[in-house]
Amino acid sequence: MSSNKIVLTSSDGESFEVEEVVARKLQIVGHMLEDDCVINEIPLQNVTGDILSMVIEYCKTHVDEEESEEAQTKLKTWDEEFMKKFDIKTLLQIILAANYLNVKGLLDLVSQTIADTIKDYTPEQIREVFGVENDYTEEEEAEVRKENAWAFDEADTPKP
Amino acid sequence: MGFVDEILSRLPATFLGRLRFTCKRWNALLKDSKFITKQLDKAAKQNLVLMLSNFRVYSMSINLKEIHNNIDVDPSIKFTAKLSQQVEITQVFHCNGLLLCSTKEADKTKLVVVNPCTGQTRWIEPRSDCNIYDMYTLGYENNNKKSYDSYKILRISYGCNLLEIFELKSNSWRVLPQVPPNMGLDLRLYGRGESLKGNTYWFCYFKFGMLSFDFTTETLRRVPLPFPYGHRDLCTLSLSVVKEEQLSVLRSSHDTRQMEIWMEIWMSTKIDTETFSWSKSFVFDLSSHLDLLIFTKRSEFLH
Repeated sequence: MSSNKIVLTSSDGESFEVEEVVARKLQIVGHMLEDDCVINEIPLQNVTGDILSMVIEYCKTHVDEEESEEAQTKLKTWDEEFMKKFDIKTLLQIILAANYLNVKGLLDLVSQTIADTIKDYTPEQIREVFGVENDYTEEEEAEVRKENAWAFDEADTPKP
Repeated sequence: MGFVDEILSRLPATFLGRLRFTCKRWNALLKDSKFITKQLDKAAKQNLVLMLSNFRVYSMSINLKEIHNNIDVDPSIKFTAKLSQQVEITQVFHCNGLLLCSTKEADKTKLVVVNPCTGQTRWIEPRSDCNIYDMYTLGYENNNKKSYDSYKILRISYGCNLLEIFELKSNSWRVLPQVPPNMGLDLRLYGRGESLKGNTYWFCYFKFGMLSFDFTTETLRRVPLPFPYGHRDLCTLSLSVVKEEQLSVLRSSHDTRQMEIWMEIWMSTKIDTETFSWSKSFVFDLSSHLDLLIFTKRSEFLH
């Protein structure tokens, strides 16, 4: 295993020196390295330094993924604790970064965490968090409501 | 936002209906077949308990798993949703996530197949000679790729002497060949039946124990039970499907004059056209817990 160091630079100019094996967890970097070029510094235009540092923290922890049950449980606990540090806005920035940098494990972890969080949100809160505009006309919304009449709607909880 | 489907595909199916109102793009995504396949793969499987009460179908969440973690936690039962339609529902049958409901509106009976997660419906006109005591079950053929079209409805007419099939793909009813004479009595079915891998299973009143209807071959079959049983035992038996893989029968003692109170659970170990076998997986001796027992007969819970 190579102990080469690689410098990753964020969009706001912050640099992180990491082991090559950690950098390779970012598949975008892995692909660049596969072309056999000798690269020591990689600029990552779409990620800010504060988010990149969190992605690197994840990759460092997951660098040797052991198969043993004990190691897996330990990693799972670490993942849970790691996710607790962030609010929903930060989680959305991390998922954008994980998507761009192509870090599969982190993408799965953050997707699940966001899904678990928004389960208790109203449609209005979801629109706000995701920056989505309600583009239905009243008639169109009524049509969807009609299509949805036979769907279980957990928001419409009846009194027993 | 390429990650939106990553997030939404991890949400439970019953939650997705609400998200259709977010915006048109999300609504289109939620209906997309690639998204649906992904959601089936990624989202945790939900365990819904459905209940028919006062002509409405309710879903409930029952939290029993906390019992193992903390003895002080109350197991909770919550009503989480109801099908919010106007018509009255008189019967409901569950198969593979779809519900077959018999509905009544202004004294007219109609059948509807509902996907309670997407709200999709398919209305079906019953036969003109239908009776409110007719029984309907939903199933599908096992030998072709499962699609909406491979579903069929079985009608067991009141009096049990007529079996009819409605195919969703041909949109029409047809009569099945006459019930074999020695099986006529068997068709005195008990309960609404349970669906496993497309076929329906019931207890029946007479000596053969259980019956199944195979939707692929469209035939009835006797299913042996692993214990002796007479019609008086019926109220002590309860049939369920476990993880869409096995049938299970909960059997309890019913002779209240004896002080031996027990419950046992039998699981099917092999179900195919040739053989059917069972194994006993649990026995509870409840004799020393008589004061804790609450027996419920003929529960109306569906799953």
